[in-house]
Amino acid sequence: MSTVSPVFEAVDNRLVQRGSGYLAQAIRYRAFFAYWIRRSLAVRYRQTSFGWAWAVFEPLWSSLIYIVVFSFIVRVNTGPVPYPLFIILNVVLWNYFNRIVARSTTSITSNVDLLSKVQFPREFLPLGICAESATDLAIGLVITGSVFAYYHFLPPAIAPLAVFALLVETVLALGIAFYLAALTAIVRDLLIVIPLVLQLLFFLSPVIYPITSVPVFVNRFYFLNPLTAIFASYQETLLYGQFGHWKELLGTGAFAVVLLISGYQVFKRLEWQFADLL
Amino acid sequence: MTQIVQAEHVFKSYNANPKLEMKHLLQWTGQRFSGRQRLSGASRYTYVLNDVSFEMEQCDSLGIIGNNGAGKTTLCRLLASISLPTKGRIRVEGRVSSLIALGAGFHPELSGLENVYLNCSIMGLSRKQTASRVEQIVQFAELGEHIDVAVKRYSSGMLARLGFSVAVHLDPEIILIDEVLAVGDYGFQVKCLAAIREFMQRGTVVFISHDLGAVERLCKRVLWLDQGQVKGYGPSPDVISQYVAAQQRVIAAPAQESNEAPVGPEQTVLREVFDESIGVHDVETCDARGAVQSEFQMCDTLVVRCSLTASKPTRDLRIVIGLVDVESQAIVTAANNQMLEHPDAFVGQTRIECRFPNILLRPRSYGVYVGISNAKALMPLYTWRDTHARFFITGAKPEPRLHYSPPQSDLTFTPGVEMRYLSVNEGG
Repeated sequence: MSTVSPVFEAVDNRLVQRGSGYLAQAIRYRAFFAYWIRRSLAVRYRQTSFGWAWAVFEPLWSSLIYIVVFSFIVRVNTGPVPYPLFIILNVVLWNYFNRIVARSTTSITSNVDLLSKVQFPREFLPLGICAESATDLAIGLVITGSVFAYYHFLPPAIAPLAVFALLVETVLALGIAFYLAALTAIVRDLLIVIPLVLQLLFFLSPVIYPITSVPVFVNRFYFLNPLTAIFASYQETLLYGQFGHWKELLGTGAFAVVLLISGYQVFKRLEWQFADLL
Repeated sequence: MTQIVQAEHVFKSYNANPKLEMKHLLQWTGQRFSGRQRLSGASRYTYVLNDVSFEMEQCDSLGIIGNNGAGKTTLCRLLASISLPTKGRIRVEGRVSSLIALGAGFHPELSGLENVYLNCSIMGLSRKQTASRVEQIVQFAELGEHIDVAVKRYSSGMLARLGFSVAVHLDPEIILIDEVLAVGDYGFQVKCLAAIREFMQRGTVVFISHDLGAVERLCKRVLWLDQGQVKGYGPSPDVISQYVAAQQRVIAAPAQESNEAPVGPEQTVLREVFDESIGVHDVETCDARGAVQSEFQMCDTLVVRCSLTASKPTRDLRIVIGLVDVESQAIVTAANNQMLEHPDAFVGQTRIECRFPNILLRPRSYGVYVGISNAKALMPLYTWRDTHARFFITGAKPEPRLHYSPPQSDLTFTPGVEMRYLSVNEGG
């Protein structure tokens, strides 16, 4: 424990910062963050009979539905890539984004007990959601890997570049998560609105269909959706082997960084309201 | 000496930001367009804390008392840096360990031991630092094998044990305790108070409790909050006795002045009639000169007057007049033997006056008890008891100054109580 005592000073609804900024404070609590994530993961499936098997089953189930619908009923042309392979990769990557955004809306409201009684850096709540979703992603990627192996599909040489898309996706999701976590505490309506928006985004982004199937004339507007560039990059780097949309990805990345920084600021400004509003 | 805790003109309102609420915004726009009246209360400020100021030095101890909803917990939340004051300044220097509510910071699915780790990490301890304390914490909590059970299965007493144990072992500089010890069993409460006392050697304590005895014993100073405002702030015995006196007055109020509801003295009397022929009426409390009064000071003379009727001749009557506290516990009783020694059977009506000179009662409110029994047969015939306070003691006269410490018994020896009959009307 540090020898210097922390000082809490507040005047007229404002916190008077002393010495350490937000990040320094968050770092001081790193042991808690580590424990918090471990605990969220430990508790997650504790009461279920099948435990972590659910983490495997969940992405498989939704992929299976899309496979049945889009390769037998409505045919989606994915070129040389087998559709099941295409879909499981995209669904796993979509779930990552979807989980962070959807769960962040409840990250504040579902932890009332902690927020109203204990002081700790509040950003750990959305960050914890992010870490939890990353675990799901890791499991999903292992599943995807085995599907790749099953089809004897060798990813193209530029596959490692997908890391950039993943980075952009994470930053974007986290930025949105900070905004939503803070705003949902104030405007509860977002709890209902956000799943609807996510549903729309799911169909507006190239998740269940390849980017190449989008008509060229809508392309300009289509890339206004930041997820388009991310999923286009995934498809290009991991499946098709030509990274055509890297410029769009860079643009989206810049947007995501701005979103994350401003989202964090907004979150820190509003965090004092949480305990009072809930 | 440096001030560890400072609160300067602190105001706290929970609806200070009505603009932030979409609902209000929509309401407001709706009203703009429909031209209807503004909904009341939509943006009215209500202060949960209203101009609260106090200071604490190192190793100081402050008790916060007040009725439910007075703002005690809100103040505690401000001190624990969970929320910010709407207006005014709060400054707390040092690591704060707070026990604001039962099971705060505990995860219901995790075991007691896992929660100890979680709680320690919330307080900013590293895993290594935690590991070195776990043994002490577990030992202090005395939960036995329950320490490995999920916390959701804990009783509130067990939660309090674990919570308190973690809080004191975190080695904080300031500890906030908000009425969580009350659910612990007697043994644990004693242990906690000892631990707090020990902690006070090196740290600062803010103690919120309705156990005024504990507050007085633990805290040097007391802050009395009433509807968010500071009603009293100063040395513990003074503020606590002011608070108690005010509380007792509130309890006494329904019996004293009833504006609308018929809760007059007669309605708040509990009568137990074992013999229909006996009756007790017109019980009054008067001062030394015989004027009916309901407010007395310590060391005043208090006179209880009543009339006793018997519709048929009754022998061996024994009369007990007592002063009872609000919980109906007898504080002072006076019994007569004159009636008993009277050779004739009593019939008709008599006025009885019982004089309690120099009443040494704590400033609280009290009721009156009149009991009529057959002394020979040891049979109760009639009891008359106030269920609400009838009079209250407002405090000591300036001279002589009496100091009471709460741990002592309430029972006070009142010498020289005399009971006499003013008149005996022998009836037919």
